[in-house]
Amino acid sequence: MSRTRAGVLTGLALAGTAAVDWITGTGIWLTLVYLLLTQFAAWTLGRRWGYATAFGCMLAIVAANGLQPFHPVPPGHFSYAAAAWNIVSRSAVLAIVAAVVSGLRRTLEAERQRSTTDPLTGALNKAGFTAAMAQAVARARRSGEALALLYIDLDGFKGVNDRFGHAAGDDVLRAFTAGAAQTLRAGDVFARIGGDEFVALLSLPDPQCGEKVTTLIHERLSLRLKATGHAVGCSAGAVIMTADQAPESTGEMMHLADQLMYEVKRNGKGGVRIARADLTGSVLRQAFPPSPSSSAFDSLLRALDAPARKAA
Amino acid sequence: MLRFYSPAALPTDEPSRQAAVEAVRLCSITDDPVLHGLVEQAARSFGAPMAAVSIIDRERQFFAAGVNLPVRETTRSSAFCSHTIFEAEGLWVPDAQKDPRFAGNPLVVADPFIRFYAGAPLRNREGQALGALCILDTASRSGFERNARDRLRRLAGKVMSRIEERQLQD
Repeated sequence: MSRTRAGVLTGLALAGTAAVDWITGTGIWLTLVYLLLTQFAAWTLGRRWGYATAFGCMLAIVAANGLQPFHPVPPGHFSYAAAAWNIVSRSAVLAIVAAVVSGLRRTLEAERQRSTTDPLTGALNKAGFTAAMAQAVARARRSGEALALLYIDLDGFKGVNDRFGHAAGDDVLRAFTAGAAQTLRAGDVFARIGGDEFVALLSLPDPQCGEKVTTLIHERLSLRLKATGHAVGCSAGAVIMTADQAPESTGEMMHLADQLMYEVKRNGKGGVRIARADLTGSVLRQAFPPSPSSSAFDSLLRALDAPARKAA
Repeated sequence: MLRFYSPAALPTDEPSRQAAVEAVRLCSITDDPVLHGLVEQAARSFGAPMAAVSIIDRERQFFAAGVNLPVRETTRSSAFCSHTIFEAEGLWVPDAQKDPRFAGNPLVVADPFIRFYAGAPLRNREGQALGALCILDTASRSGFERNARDRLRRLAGKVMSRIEERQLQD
């Protein structure tokens, strides 16, 4: 719900409740309703608007019921001081509710952020990627755009850690992530899913752009890594697909990322591998078996150990 | 399995290579009748349905002359000839579908469905490769033997001579 809509609803609810309060007279307390709408305002709009709503509720109660109910004593014994104290302490209750509720919301948001973010680089982590990926696929389906799933791993990263320590390795990862943030656009999804492994999901106006986008990203990130001064580069793999071909479930999407990973590792350092799934048909029909048999796993291990292929 | 291809990397001498390409006035060699004759000779000589003089210019592959080509230019990343410019001897691909560099290439999985490719680089006097003379087939071949490679290289030499000749004219 947008903040504007929440604000308008709060205002309308407050006005409506005040009206009902006035109609029902001083014998009926609508404190519960005022409390609920203060909670709603604090949850959706934050602490300060929560306080403002609490204050607005107290004004409404006094306007609807007068000061008398705040010091219900026989005529002649009414004390403004007593009534003022009662009003203030009732307001404080609403304000405390606003503070607790808005604090809870903030904590939940911070927790959600923390659980989907990689603390070292600030990029999304795997959980964050799967959440953002679903939205990106849905958006692409609505707009009819194509998608590119990229897998990138760093070449020579272990060497940097071994020779210069983990602090140097961390710097490389942060520089890489900063480079990605500069190269990718706001709607693109980028995540660190392993020690030196990253994935990205990009939307494209059409599948033909995928090749150019992939090679450009690889080139920019390679330059960014070179600029760290360390002997580190990157290898990339990409699947270009129409939005309709994009995997529905996160499991299937990560499966696709795994296929890219195998292909990139098999291909050797510094290379780029691209699959135009839009030209070759369904992405899932061509999938690797989900649970490789031991012979498939053995041939994968052999492929990973094989030296890079040279020209025919 | 997904079918992948490798876009060619940039050669280390790319800035000077590109400068050499720009020194060639492409309009002077586009649709030149002598180049066209050489390309037709290449197609006939090797029994190939398609042949081309390809120039690798920045992000694109441009065909200065061609036989039965469906397009005038392609992206550099999907161009076979952008791999050929790395090879002193030339590049031959008996079956693109079985070659991991090209199996998923758009020119292989879609029109013109290339299966066989052979190309000899076009090198200027400084040794920079501007592009390649290439022959293409939609059927695979078992190989491309030594004397065929030599013949293609000799024809590439004639193509390069003609290109240089055209720069001196006008």
